[in-house]
Amino acid sequence: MPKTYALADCNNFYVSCERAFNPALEGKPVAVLSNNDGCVVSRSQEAKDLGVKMGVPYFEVKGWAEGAGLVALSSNYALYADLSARVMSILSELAPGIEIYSIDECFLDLSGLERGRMRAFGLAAREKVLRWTGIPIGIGIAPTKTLAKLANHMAKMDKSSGGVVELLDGNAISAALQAAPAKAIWGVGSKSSEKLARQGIRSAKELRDAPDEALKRLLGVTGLRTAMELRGLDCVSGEAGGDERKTVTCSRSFGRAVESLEEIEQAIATYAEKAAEKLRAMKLAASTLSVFMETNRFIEDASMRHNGWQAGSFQQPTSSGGAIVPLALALARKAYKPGYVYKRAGVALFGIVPEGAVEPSLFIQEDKAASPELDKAIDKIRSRFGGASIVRAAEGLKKPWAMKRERMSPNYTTAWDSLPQAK
Amino acid sequence: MSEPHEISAKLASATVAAGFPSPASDYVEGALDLNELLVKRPAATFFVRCSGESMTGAGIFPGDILIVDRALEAADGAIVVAAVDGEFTVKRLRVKGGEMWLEAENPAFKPIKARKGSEWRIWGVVSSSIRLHRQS
Repeated sequence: MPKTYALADCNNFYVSCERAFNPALEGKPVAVLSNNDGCVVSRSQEAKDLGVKMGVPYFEVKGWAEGAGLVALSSNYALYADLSARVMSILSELAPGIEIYSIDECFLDLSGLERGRMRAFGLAAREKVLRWTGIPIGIGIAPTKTLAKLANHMAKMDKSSGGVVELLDGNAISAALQAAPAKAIWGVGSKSSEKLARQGIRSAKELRDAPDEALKRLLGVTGLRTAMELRGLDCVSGEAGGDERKTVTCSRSFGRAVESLEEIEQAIATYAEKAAEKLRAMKLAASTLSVFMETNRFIEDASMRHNGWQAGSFQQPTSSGGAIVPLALALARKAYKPGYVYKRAGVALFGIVPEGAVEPSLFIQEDKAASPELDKAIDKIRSRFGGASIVRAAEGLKKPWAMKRERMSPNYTTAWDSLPQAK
Repeated sequence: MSEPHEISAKLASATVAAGFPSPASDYVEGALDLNELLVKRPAATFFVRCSGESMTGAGIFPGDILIVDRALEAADGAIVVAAVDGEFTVKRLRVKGGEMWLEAENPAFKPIKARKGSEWRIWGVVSSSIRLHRQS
């Protein structure tokens, strides 16, 4: 059966989250700043039009931008994690397969849906997410993930698309690849596109049609896979490629029915520990975490299906099992509902940054549970005696002093004393 | 009658005789859960604090928590949270003869109609509200 993927991603996600609870921000230039109010990490269309560039250090633009009406907000991870969990849970109920890629993107497996119904599906999904959460999303639909990413990009750029673009027809695909530069393709970074340009390969179409040998020589196996994806061959499996890592996940289907909270907790603690190990091995740290558990998605009776999703965030990006496992367990307890037969569960970490980017704050108390030395020792013991040789007992979460976030909006959805107000 | 099969997903509240589950006993046991009562669609449900007196006639007072379900269709007579001129407000929605406007339930407050320069849109339908009689 030919595959079809939809890539759904939220438009200007952090800004959209802020606007959902503060209607005064609609139509205004708004930017959200990174940890310690450093750089611009999300912009509304109006902020983009103003000339505020992605990633620019805020102090560089503050003067003129604020004068022009820009509203700058600190990152409110608790809010973004909460809204992300809602968007993902809505989408997961609409399609048979979902794979979260980052805090605001996921791939939906639409294989089996009638071709003529794809666009309607996309529009309905968009409408539902917007209505239920206030978050606008764009959807790209295509036979491979790489093409779906391109379609999604086209949905963003073309207002007349209504937020949904399909690249299912051979001619449509070729036309889109002709118009797109190779650099715009998922997995092709600037270095790769330079190598390709030197060989006369500039457009995505030329990339697709380049001889396999040349591709392997220039870009390695990943480059060849990208070209094959552009040809319509589904090659990217599991955690997808791309230059930057946006999520680290660990999930498993259970070999048998799992019903008790205790078993779910054991599974989640294991996956959380594994995901944390992956982070450390790649020298990365994560800001938010989500936990999900689902019943068999093919059960006919809707009352026996349940997808539990919960998300939470850390005060400071971390790769420590001592911080990640307890949060995962707390979220699992919230997501769990008794009376269902679970088939699959997992942990996903988002807001990925390189370890070195985490600026140690003068005000953060040394979290004894989050000790890099302890983590190293655990990793060593595991590599010598095997993964199961040492198990961390779940520890309580300590709250360190927060990093500088002077312009943070209230925790609208995660603190009773911070609810949005209505007169 | 269909073949008896294992109902592994729910706890039966009565003992099963002769392998046939009693049709009257297919209930889930356990303590009553406010979430089940008040939050039908967790992904679409948000809590908003009432901060004014415009709806006292409907039994909604400042400090009450409004449970807003953004999935619900807003129809004439629904209590809604709306965004008016950049702020949230809670009012009763009126739809009549092709027109839509927001009414307070307190004579001190005027209705809000759509007019040039003042924009409003519905944010979500209030399905229930909570008043805490004691601050814990």
